[in-house]
Amino acid sequence: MDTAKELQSQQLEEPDPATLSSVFEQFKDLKSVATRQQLLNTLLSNLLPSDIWHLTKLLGERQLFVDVISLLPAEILIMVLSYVSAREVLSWQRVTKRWRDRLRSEFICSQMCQLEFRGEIPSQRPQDEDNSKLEALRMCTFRSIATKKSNRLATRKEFSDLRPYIMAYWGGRLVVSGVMVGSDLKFTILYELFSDRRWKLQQSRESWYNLTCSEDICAGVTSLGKCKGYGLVKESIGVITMDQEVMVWDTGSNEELRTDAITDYLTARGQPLYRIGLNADRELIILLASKP
Amino acid sequence: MVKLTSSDGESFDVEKEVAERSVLIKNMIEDVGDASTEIPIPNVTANVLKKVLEWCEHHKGDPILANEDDTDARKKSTDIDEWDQKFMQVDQEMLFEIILAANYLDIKALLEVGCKTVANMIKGKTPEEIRRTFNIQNDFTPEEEAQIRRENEWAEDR
Repeated sequence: MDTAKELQSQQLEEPDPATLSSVFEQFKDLKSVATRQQLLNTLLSNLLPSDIWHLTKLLGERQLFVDVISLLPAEILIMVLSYVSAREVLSWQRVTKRWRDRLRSEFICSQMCQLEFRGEIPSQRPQDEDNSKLEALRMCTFRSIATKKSNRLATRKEFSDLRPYIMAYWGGRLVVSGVMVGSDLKFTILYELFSDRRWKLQQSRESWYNLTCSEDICAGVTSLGKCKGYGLVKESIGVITMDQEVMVWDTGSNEELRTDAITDYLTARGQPLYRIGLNADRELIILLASKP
Repeated sequence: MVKLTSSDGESFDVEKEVAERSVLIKNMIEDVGDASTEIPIPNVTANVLKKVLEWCEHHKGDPILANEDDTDARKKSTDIDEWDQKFMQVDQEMLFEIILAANYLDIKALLEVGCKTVANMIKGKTPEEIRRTFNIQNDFTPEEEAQIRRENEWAEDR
């Protein structure tokens, strides 16, 4: 009897290695997270205080925290960021210096820019070459607004600060670009591509007007000698002419552009119309009759 | 069956269909032309590989995500199906390792789940909450922090 008891307690203290290893193997092979967790819960409820103390110590020694954002390769970090709004990413800059520097890096900014602006840009672009330049333009704009002090709208000052970049990216050609913070803080970028013959415009009414109708922009445009900024009619339309083409936009009244008003306006200023209408990008294009 | 060997020398016998969730392994099998050859996975340790294979096993029937161009990059939903959510309930080190392994092994869907999990860990949190989540020390002076806050003010108040 005593021997049997002794034997039993011995077995308890030193369980059969084969049994133990089989239990261990069985646990190791468990695939379902739920089952494993269930088993662990049962195990935990049967632990002695000393076991728990030991377990806590073991877990404490393990590296439980990993600063994922600092350590992930950039191309994977971008995937993570693609699930988050740019506004949130901006607030992440306050976590640590490492995060700030990482999230402000050129690569991350340019990629964020691509994520944010996707869909905002008209699909019909003249050439691929222009697209890559646009990316560059958007990148530097985003970087600028993301890292420099700014109010809700990019100020004219900031805008002119950007000009050297823009000029550089565009090989010296003038590009007018404005930045507006939209309703969902999608950064809506408004831009024009200035080419010899044509303005391309992603139109966005009020802020566009505020930026482009500013005196310095008009002066800049005029100084190129290729086009002329007209006295812009504050209440209704803004006009810039360029060679024989005129770009017209309305100023946020959300009313249909009235072509007759534009016609009157231009005619009154000695700019007879040749043709007026929307182009493929739904920009209003006015061709002036050649001057004698 | 395919035999995969982790960086620390542990071998795993896996159904071909399961292993081929990994585009890298799939290509390797095709290159070797003989599925019975042992395939070394030198960048992934056994405990991570096991976890990754667990995911592959569960998702073996899923259609392979096309490697669509990132030109369609848009803000995407962070919804994760229930099984994947449970699967991703691991410590941060393992999560990190899984993401790296999924990237290396070219398992797009798993990489996405990993990235979404990370995004969900951080989303909607204040910087202080984020620091707590990752056990990160705030190394900004109050002035510096206020400075960044001012810089980003335009974006933070709607």
